Parts: sequence; structure tokens; C-alpha cells
Amino acid sequence: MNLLQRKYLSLFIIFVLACNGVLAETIKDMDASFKTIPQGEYKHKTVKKHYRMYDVRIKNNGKKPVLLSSSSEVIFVSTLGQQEVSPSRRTIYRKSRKRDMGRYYWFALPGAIIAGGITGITFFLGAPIGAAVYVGMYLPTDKAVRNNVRISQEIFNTKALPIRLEPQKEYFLLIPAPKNIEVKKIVITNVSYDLNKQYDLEIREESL
Amino acid sequence: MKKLQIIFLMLFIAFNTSACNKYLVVKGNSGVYYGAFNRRDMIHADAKLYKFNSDTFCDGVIFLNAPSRAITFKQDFVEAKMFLSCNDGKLIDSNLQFRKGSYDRGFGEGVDQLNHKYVIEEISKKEFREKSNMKNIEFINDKSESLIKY
Repeated sequence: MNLLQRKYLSLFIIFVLACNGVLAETIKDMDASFKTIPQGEYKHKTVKKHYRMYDVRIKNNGKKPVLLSSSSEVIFVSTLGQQEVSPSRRTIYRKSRKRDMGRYYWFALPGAIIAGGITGITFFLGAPIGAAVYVGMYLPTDKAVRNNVRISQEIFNTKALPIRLEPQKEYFLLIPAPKNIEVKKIVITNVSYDLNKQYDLEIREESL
Repeated sequence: MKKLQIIFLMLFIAFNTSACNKYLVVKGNSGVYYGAFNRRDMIHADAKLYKFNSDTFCDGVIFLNAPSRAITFKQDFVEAKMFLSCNDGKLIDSNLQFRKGSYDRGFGEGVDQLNHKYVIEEISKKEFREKSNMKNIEFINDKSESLIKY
């Protein structure tokens, strides 16, 4: 074997190793599919503004639990082969929450001054205005906070991606993807049985 | 008028210098983590924890299941969730209890993906400084540093 052949052989070996490192094996014994939730059916307007929601079902048919790790990422693959990494749940919540306080402060201060001033003159006129200011401030902020709780419950709690997929158990998740991408496949990277050898978990669109 | 100015100035300084961190200790078989959380709105807070005598640190988020907007019942305990993502690959999912209005007296239990258990407790700033050998924990809004990937 001459020098040139050796060079090509070593380049080929490096290429194969690199491919193995980049493209992880797909995990077996997993039954996973997703379907798109139509924009009209999803109720939270602030979430709909930035994201499209996907109903995901994952069942671990194997005998061992599948573990996620802090390097696991959710990747959306589009019909054109374009890939996009999902933002974190924290970012999704921050982007889609309703602002619960600062928005109504401009109303509170002049409102309170007027109400306070009038209360000084006559109790009967000042009190209803004060009450109106209180209700005007309290109700929208209360509504915003309650809405934020519902959003965070969906994103973090009831339909969040778990840290461990137990065997023979089915999980129903809600995964928000950025609106600009038409998702064909969802890939969860770096899942494993023992945190050593890493696999990919592929979620395909449910066929009708 | 001058008195009023001084009062406003004092209030402004007090507001700017007051840290709103609250401190946590997480005890597990693998070690003890000391850290803090910082409220970002009525229901959610960012959390950061550092393993004692180690380079491991965790980044996470806490959110309350039912915040209090009322004047009363602020002292009631309410369920909260905490998700932590660590730089050694660990993910910790925990269920906590906090006071509705103030996020005070938090306590709870957590579990990582290998089913190791962790006990979580809120501690005072003084206790945190004495035990962890750290002065303070800063929360910077830098998304690139976040360990929460999904």
C-alpha cells in the first residue's frame, strides 16, 4: 500500500467515525407518533402567536426504562429537511405568558390619586370610583395570572416530556414548535438506557 | 420637601440593593447542592444550584401550581414543581411545597432519571453563606448559559 492509498484509507476511516459520532442510532422498541393540533382547537392565544402545538404519544415497548439527560434536545425536521432545535420550556413559557403586572400600573396610580382626592371630598362618590379602580386593576391581572398557570401546567407539568420513560407505559405530551416550520418528524436526541451509549428517538406523523 | 426627597432616595436605594434571592439546599446520596432561586413573575422562578466541593452545577426553573392574588390565604402552602438540568447530565424533577404569596418555607422531594432521591429544603441567607462557602448567586438573563435544553 503506497502513501496515497494510506492517506485515502485514513480519510475514509475518519469519515466513517465522524458519521457514527454525528448520526446516532435510533432507539428500538419505541412506539411514538404525533399529530398537529389545528390552530382553532388550541385555546391559549399567547402561545398560538409564536408556536404550533403537536400532540405526541410515546410508548416504551421495551423492558428497560429509557432515560433522558441534560444533553437531550428536541429537534424538528421539516418537509424540506430543514432542522430546528426546540427552545427550552422556560423560553417557551416566557415568550407565551401574559404579562401579569406592569401593564396595568399606568392605570393604577392616576386612578388611585383621583379616587383618593374625591374620597377626601365626599365618601359616597369616592368609594365607588376607588372600587372601580380596584376591580379594573385586580380582574385583568388575576385573569393573566390564572392563564399563566394554565399555560405553565401544560408546558411543565401535565404534558411535559418526562425525564424517564418507564417500560410498558404510554405518555401523552404536548410539544410546541416554532410556527415557521412545517414539522414532518420530531427527533429527541441523546436518550439512553444507561446514560452511556446515546440513541435518537424518532417521532413520526400519525397516518390517518 | 427636602425630607421627602431623602425618603424617596432611601426607598430607591433600598429597592435597588435588596436581593430577592431565596436559598435552597438539595441533599442526595451523590452529594449536597446549595443554591438559590429568584422569582421572575407571580408563578415562576429561576433556580441555580452548585454541588458542594465540586464543579457540578444545575440550572432550573420553579413554578407554583396556584399563586395567590388575594389578600388572604397568602400563608397557605401550595404545590410547586422544580426542574433542574445539571452539567453532568443529570435531570432532577421535584415536587415542592411553598407559601403562596412569598415562596417561603419551601420543602419537598425530588428524583433524577436514575431514580435517586433528593430532599429539598429552603434555608436562610445566613445559613447558606455559612455552609456553602459562597457569598451570593447571581442570575443573569443569558440564554446561552442555560442548561435547560427542552
